[in-house]
Amino acid sequence: MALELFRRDAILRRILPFGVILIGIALLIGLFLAITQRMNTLREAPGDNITWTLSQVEVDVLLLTDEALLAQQSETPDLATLRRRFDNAYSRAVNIQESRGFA
Amino acid sequence: MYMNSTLCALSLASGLATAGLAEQLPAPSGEVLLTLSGALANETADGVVSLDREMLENMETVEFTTSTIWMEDEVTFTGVPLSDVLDYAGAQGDEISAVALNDYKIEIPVSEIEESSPIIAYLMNGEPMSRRNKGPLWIVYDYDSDAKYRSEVIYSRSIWQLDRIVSNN
Repeated sequence: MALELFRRDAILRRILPFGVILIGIALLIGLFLAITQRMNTLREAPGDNITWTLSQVEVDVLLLTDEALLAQQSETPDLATLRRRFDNAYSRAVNIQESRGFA
Repeated sequence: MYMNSTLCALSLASGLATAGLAEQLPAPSGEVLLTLSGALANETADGVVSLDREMLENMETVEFTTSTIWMEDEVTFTGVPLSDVLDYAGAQGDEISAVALNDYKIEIPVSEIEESSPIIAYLMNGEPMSRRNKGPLWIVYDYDSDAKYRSEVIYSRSIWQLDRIVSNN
């Protein structure tokens, strides 16, 4: 009886430190993730996201091409939308010309 | 007479329910530049609030000169605080979505909209902005005034060719 108690005690004593360490590591990882996320949000950015800006140019040009094709085939072309698409693409192009990181 | 008083009571009740009486705003006479919709207390017609250039010009203006990441030189922006426009429309949501002419859409929590920042700029260097150069409306911050306005989140909220704003609950 006494031996059994002793054994259980020994196992507990061996597991307990590991448990504490594991919980500690988990907490650290959680805190690290929270802090890096917050840092990213607050960090001063040197410029706009270049990849996104470039891909957006393509998106606007494709939208313009689509609209132009539609207008070509339609008897009553929606020229207002076509103009808007053109203006959007134009504005994007100017952006590349002048933005920090591109200019 | 009976109908009238019922209507009155109804509108009063709905007004009280939305904490403030719904107000009919004057309709814009010029070309509509900005349309607000969603959870609004006021309306110009059909539950939306539309604004033209003249109405924006008649509101209290804010002007500042700042450098931006989108242009080489410093520019001067003139516009109205976003918070004033939201107040004018009686926006009640906790968050707004701002949508551009190319359907680019961003969300700004109302708690992060300051009294005079950002502004909805309608003039750049004293001139109206064309659609071909980020106009006619652009949500901008005074980037040079504080490092907190130079984060990626703020840049992403600086939406140009602004077309409409939706107040979300």
